[in-house]
Amino acid sequence: MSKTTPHSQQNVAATIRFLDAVRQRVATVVVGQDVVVERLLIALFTGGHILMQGVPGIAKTLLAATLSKAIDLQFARVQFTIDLLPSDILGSEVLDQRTNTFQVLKGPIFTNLLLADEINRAAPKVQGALLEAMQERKVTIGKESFKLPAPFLVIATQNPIEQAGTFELPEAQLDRFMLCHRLQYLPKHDEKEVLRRNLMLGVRREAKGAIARTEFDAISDSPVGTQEDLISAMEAVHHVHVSDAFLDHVVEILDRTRKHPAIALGCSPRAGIAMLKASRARALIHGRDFVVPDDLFALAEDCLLHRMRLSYEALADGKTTASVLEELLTEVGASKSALAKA
Amino acid sequence: MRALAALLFATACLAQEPVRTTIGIPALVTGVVLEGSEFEPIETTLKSPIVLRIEHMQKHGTANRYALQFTGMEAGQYDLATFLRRKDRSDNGAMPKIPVVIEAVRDDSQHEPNALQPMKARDVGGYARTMWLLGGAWAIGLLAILFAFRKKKAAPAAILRKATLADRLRPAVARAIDGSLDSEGRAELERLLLSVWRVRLSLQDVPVREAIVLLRAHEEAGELLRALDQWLHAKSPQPVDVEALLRPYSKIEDEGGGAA
Repeated sequence: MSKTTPHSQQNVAATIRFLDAVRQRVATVVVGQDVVVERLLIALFTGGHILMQGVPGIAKTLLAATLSKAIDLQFARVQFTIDLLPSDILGSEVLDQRTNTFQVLKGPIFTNLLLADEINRAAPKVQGALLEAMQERKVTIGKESFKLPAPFLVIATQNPIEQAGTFELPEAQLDRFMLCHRLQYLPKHDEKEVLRRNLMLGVRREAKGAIARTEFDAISDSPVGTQEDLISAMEAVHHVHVSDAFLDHVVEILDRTRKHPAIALGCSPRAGIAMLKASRARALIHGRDFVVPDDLFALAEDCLLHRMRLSYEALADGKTTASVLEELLTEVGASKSALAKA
Repeated sequence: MRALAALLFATACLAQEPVRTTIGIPALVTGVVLEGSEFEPIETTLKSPIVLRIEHMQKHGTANRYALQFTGMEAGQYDLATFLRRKDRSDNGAMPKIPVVIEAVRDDSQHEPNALQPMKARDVGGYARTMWLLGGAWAIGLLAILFAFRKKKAAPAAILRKATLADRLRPAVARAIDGSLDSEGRAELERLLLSVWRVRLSLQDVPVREAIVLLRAHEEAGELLRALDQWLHAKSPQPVDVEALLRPYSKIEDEGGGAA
């Protein structure tokens, strides 16, 4: 661990306490998924948005709901379907018959944490409306513009298996997501723990009836941190030091994505910015006030993979973007410039 | 007056070289302007030296313009005007000369046609050979292109084969020790050192994000990485003896990583 300045040391220590509390709270409801929690926190701390790709039933919604309650954030969930309209998310103007004037009815996007479930099921115009709001952080309803609440984080999900009747997000829109995390099934011991906890949920009495309790009932309503803690953490991220050597690593990797023969579309400068922001937040989460190559390699897949497009030849050869990125990262130690100097 | 002008014009035209042809080969005399009523060829007999016919006729003021086709039967110089007469059988009057020359290909004593000269027959067929030649040229062209392409690629490939990880690391370490390594070079040195340890611990096939965690956990590699963190990345770095840190790598030999 490095020495830190008193100001940043205080910030880092406070943030670590806050993070530990959040993690513990999430762990009481969600089993495993430490990496996903880390990625969500990175997105939250950096003001980026995250796209989670994974099959249904791996606690994506539960995780977002738990996180929002742990930090006292407003949470909304929108299930994207083919017949969804932009106004269903953004809001619309409705006629108030008493006053004979139009009143603005704000949509579910006016929240801190928005879970856009199965974003690829909605029509492109709905996706476009959401992604525009994500970038501009404001929404125009009728003739009036409204700022979205701060912090504002979109957690979008995509099911990578069922592609029928879906509208795949194009690269330009995927680029708006700072991170794209691919969720995996839990390890066996964690999955066993999920089942064990589910056995203990029991039944909740309601009025004269009873309902079987779900994991959502296990989420505590009392937050472990405030929005002020979150703002402190966001400020602490900006005090994390990024060395010139680290910048060179980032530039080298970005450059390689653009020159690799198997890649038709390499990463944009926005990918590099996302990588830097995410690395800073990860460093803070790991208790450091400076970034190291570990952050870069850990986040490369989430920051870069969704921004790369393979060439037809590479696809015909059976390559995947993940395998090409891994190959690219493996070769980073043997850069061509090093060869030339040697 | 106009008739005189037409006669002078016709005379001027026909004062040119006489039209020449050989026996039996038709020839044409055009632009013959003859004043007065319409002309026609006189009857041809078996002994006529020239067979004449009017190819075309059109009005030319008060005169007529003729295109005369003639075929010579006997060699000699003739005046085609003598082979014309007016259709109305009136007097021909003053007519310009229409000189023509009929030449003989054979001597007068030769009555048989010229003997055929033997000549080499044209090469018939040869399509297969042509295709083979074209195919060969195409193949040679293709090989030339491929050969030239490989030749260009051969140079960097040769360097890649020769430059091992150790070869690239040594000069970078030397520059780092003497303090002449810039920021980009330091970043590259760090990546090379990571590669060296991945090779040493046989972690080439492990994903990089997992390999670096394993390297951190390794006693010697972890110590190196932590020192590099302080030297290259830390916000408030602790003093690092770069020379002592990198000296073990200054004379490093290839450890099987090759040009990984």
